[in-house]
Amino acid sequence: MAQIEWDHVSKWFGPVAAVHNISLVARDHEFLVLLGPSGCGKTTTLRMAAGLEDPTSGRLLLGERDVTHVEPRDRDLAMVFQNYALYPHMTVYDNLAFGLKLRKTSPQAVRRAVEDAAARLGLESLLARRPRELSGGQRQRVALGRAMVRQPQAFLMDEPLSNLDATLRAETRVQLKALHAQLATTIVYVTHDQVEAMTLATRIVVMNGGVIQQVGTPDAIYDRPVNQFVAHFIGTPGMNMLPVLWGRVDGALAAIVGSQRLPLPPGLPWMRAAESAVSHAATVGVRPEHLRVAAAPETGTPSLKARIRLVEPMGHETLVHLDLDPDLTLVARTPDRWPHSNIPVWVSFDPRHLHVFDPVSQVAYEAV
Amino acid sequence: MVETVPSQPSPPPVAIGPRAPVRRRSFNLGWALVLPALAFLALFTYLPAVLVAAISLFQWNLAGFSSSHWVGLQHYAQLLNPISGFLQSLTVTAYYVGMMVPLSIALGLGLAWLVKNRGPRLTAWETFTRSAVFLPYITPAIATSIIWIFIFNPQFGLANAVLSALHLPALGWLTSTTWALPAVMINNLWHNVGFMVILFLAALSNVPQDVVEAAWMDGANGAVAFWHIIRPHLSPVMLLAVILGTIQAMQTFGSIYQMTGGQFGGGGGPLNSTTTTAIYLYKSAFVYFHYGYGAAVGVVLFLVMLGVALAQKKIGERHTFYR
Repeated sequence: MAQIEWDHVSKWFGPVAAVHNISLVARDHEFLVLLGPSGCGKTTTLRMAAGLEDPTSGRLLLGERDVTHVEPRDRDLAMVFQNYALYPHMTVYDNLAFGLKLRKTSPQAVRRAVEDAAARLGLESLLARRPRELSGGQRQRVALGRAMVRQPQAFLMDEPLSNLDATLRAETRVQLKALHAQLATTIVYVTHDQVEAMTLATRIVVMNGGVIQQVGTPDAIYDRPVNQFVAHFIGTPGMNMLPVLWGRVDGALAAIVGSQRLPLPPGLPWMRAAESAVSHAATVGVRPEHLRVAAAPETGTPSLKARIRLVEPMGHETLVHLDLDPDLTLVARTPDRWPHSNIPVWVSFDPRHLHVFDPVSQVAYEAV
Repeated sequence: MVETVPSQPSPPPVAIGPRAPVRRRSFNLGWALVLPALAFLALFTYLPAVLVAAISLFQWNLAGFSSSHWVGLQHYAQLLNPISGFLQSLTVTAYYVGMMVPLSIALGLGLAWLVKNRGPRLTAWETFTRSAVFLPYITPAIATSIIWIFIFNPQFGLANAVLSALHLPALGWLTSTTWALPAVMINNLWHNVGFMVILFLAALSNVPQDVVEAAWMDGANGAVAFWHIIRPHLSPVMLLAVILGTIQAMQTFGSIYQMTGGQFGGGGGPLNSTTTTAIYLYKSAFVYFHYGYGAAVGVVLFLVMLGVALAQKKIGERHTFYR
């Protein structure tokens, strides 16, 4: 049973709560990704699972076993550190073998396990080298190998790809996903990179300010963010947020965006909550990839008048920065190429792609 | 963008008129900056060292070389004669160094471990303990040794008071041939340990925390992590501490002189039990006025120190891990 459970866990550093009362389960065989900006408490959450930080309150469970006060060495977890933390004075072989030797494994078994891990990670020719004679990518694989050889109950990974260059990171990401399928163990993985989170995770835990914002599959997090933070944090660029006022025009609900009116078709899931809300104000979110930019208004879908301020060509797509009003801006991701000029355009979208948030609590109306 | 590679190697840059004097001037500036220090070193270190080597070959008279007479290697032959006491002084020195170096390193490392910073900032307690440990090192040994004479007073001293509180027999300390040298060692451990603490504090702060944590995750307890991970990281500083500690111990003079009655005849008592080679040198030259012989002792002491330091470096580097 390789399930890791944080049960109402908090961690205070002096007067600061790094992690505030989180309850979370990393299920058996799950690839659980803790995602959030710097200082959101994700690494502290991971280190408490490892036993490298003591929780200020709450319990940690490995399977059924309470390990809150168990030393790291007795938890049978392996950790991959951000800077790899290889033993610099040992060869790659000894780095891999160290944990097994401490467990009094027979020399033959150590050799077998090390050679097996080395073969899997393509480290056979590097076994006699010291870490400083390795490239970043090789060190990263040694760090993975050191975690693998012991066949721990679960892997804890603290931003293991953040020191690799972009190409190598993309490659290693794929290897990591394949490795997870092969090993079929629990992995808890910390990252601030949403692409890693989306591609690798069975489930994502979005954290901010020491608090869990949302737990869900990558699709759920992307499609149904529960609040503005999650909506804006996931996606490149993040979700567009527009302050609106609700009004009823000819019996149908419409949103007033800046100086423009946006009629909405009936039957959208959040409408009941929007209508019954005390305030007429709300924040409407729409992802850049759901916006369409055209020279003329589309018929049948709500459109807004805008002006192109800036264009970022990316080759396969274009980021178009648009001004609705002087202080109302949008970013659209479109496959079309737009000239970089101050031209008037129309922005349209499928109203089902709108997300509506309470302007005060910033919580999505769908989630209420 | 591909840079074009010239097919012909470009000619070397030619120094043009105004540049050359600039280069020569900076060369002169370098010498000008080094020269004062070099002159002092030459005048007060290298020249005396050469003179000492020369004097050791003469029956030296303070009036100068003209009134001294050549004896060749006779002083060196006398040194090797057991009656001279030189060989005994070497064994006392070996005992002293052999005890002081491991003890000061163990104590220094232990104290450094206790006062090393554990949080992001130094607490007031850590600052206080660090200062307290380092303070003795900046006091003059010759002065604080007087305090230690009181401490080791057989009748009224603190040392015997502590022993009697522990129900242990009182010791003669500085009056005992067995305990006089250990008493000096205790003084010098107290005096010098601050230096070792500073060395090891710096070394400990360079041990990467995540590597230690990786060892814990791999199944290491505190002792195993210390031995297999922290100790190798400390090894370059350990080697430095051994070499510096040995040189410092071999040179120890003031505290021994003061505690063993130097002002009453050169120190080193009782019965030469604390006569280290440094004390022997002093007594030969400045109590018995055998300058030439004292110079020979100095030369041999220098060669012994050089040999020991080189041997330590050679052996030590086999067990040292440099990052």
